[in-house]
This record gives sequence, structure tokens and C-alpha cells, in this order.
Amino acid sequence: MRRRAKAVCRESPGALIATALTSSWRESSTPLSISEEELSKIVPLLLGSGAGALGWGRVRCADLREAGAARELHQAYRLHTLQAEVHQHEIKQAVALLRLDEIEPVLIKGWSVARFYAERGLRPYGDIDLIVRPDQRVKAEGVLKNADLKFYVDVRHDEFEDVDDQRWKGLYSRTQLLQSDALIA
Amino acid sequence: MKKTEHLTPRARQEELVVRELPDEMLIYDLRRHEAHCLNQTATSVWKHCDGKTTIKGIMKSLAKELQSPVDERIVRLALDQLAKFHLLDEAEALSVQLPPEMARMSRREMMRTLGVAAAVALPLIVSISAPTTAQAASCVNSGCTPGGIPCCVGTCKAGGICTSP
Repeated sequence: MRRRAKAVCRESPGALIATALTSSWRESSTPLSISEEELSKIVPLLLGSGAGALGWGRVRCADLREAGAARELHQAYRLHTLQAEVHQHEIKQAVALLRLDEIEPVLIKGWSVARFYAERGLRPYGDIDLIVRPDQRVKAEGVLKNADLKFYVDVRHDEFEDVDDQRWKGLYSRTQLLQSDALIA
Repeated sequence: MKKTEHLTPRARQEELVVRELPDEMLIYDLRRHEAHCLNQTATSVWKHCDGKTTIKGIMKSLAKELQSPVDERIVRLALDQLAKFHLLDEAEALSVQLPPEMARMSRREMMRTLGVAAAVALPLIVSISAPTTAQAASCVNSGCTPGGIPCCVGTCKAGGICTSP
């Protein structure tokens, strides 16, 4: 016997967040159509989870854009956009420093995912994740420790510690070499 | 000190990270670890501060760009704000001063004086801070602000390090 799925109330925070974030990562998303009261309910949740900028993407073309709660989403968007820009600057510095010591890093996680979103800053991330060959990790940590970078660059990723030479070659062959301009494109 | 009419303000370029959006400009000052948001008028004035153009020249360029007359006082107000937020070359910033009668005015009084119906918005620069309701444990209250920007995503570890979740 099939069980009927529980009806999800339109007003539940989960449903409202799902509505707010639908297609929010796309270049052109439709304006959000919920009440100001409903928006106020979910703004703290969106902000706390780092989805404030995505929420703003749905609100900025909606009538809600001038609401008090919407202004907080706008602020989050500004903050994350600027953070992404500073990250770009820091990544370029970190990569340049490592290359001076003949260490070729690979960008993973946060930045490499965020670049597929419609805008930088929609998908915020806290630090910069790089991987290097296991035998170069300690040297890389030393180089980065002495650099005057504002964000933490993490080169310690346990899942890559046991990768042998052959597998590293395979991994590098599947990476994409970006021109310096691509980091600010 | 140069007379105001001979001033050729220059926008500061060093140690700034700039991101221009369709209707505003975001600037992060790497020197002071401060983030600012400039509205369109402030952005236009800043972009015209090339070290060669006088205030009158900036006024004319702005009028042409916006296809609307621009009061010189709007340019002076923008320069005053740009100087206060350290977005002009230091040497020029020292010379930029609002006339006393303007310095005393509130923003509302200025709008009234310059004409509320003016097509050109008053220049505005505000500092960007974390949104107030983001202050869940993951943001400002964590006390972790690497590079001056709150760790709103991820976890704060010892040493002010903000790591991804």
C-alpha cells in the first residue's frame, strides 16, 4: 500500500527556503514572489548558511527589494562578492609564490566550484584550498606561512597524502590550466 | 596648497581590490582592511579622478556621461567623501575640502539645496559590514575576520582562520 507523502506547508521555513533558492544560481532567475513577512522568516537562515547572496539574486528584481530583510541579503551579496574578489587577488599571489619555488598547485573545492555559478560571490567560501604533490607539501606550507596573505590557504588534504607519482600525473593531466586573467574574468 | 580650482584629484589605485557592479562599485582597502560601497555618482567621480582633470572638468565629463547638468557642489561632495574614505591619492586628499556652508549640511539639507528633482543622485559612499542577522555563530560573533571580512561561511579556528565547511 503506498503511503501518501506528507503535505509540506507553504509557510514552513524549509518550503520557503526551497522557493527562495530555486534557480538562484542561474544567470537569469525569476523574481521571488513571497510576502515580506515570509522573507523575514528565512533571511536569518539564508544568511547563517551562506546563501544570502543567492537569496538576493532572487529578490533584487522583485518588489521585495526595498524591504528591510532584503537589505540584509543585499549586504551579504556585496560582502561575498567583495570577498570573492579579494580571494582572486590572494590566489594569484599564492600561486605566484609557490611557482617561484617550483611548486605547481591545483585549486580545488571552494573556488573551483564557485566559478561555475552565474556570479562570483554567489557561492562563498572561507579559505583557499590548494593541493600539491605530497613530497612538496611541507615546503608549500613554509612558503605560504611566510607570505602576507589575508585568507588561509589550506594545502593539507589528507585524501591526497597517499597519492603516488603515477596517480599525480594522471590527476594533473585532468586539470585545467587557467591564464591569470581567468582568475578575474 | 593648490587652490581648489586648480586641483586635479587622482584616484588611489594601490592596495585596492575593486569590483564594479551594474549600479554600484565595491572596493576593499587592503591597507586598512575596510570594505566600501560607492553609488553611481561617487563611482563616476572617482573614475574621472585621473590626476589631470580639474573639478570643473570632472563636472563637465559627468554631465556629458549622465546627459544631465551636474552641480559643481555634487562633485565637491563626492571628492570630500572619497578623501574621507582614503580613496584619493594622499597628497590630493589633503586639499579637498568642502566649502564651510556645505560641510555643515545634513544629507537631507543638501538634497533640498541641490534640488531633490535633480537627475543626478547625491554621491554616497558607505562602509560594508556584515548584515546584522547573519550574526549566527558562523559570522561576526565568531570574532573571526580574516582580512577584515567576517567569516560568514565555514568555521573559525584558532588564529583567526576561516575554513570552509
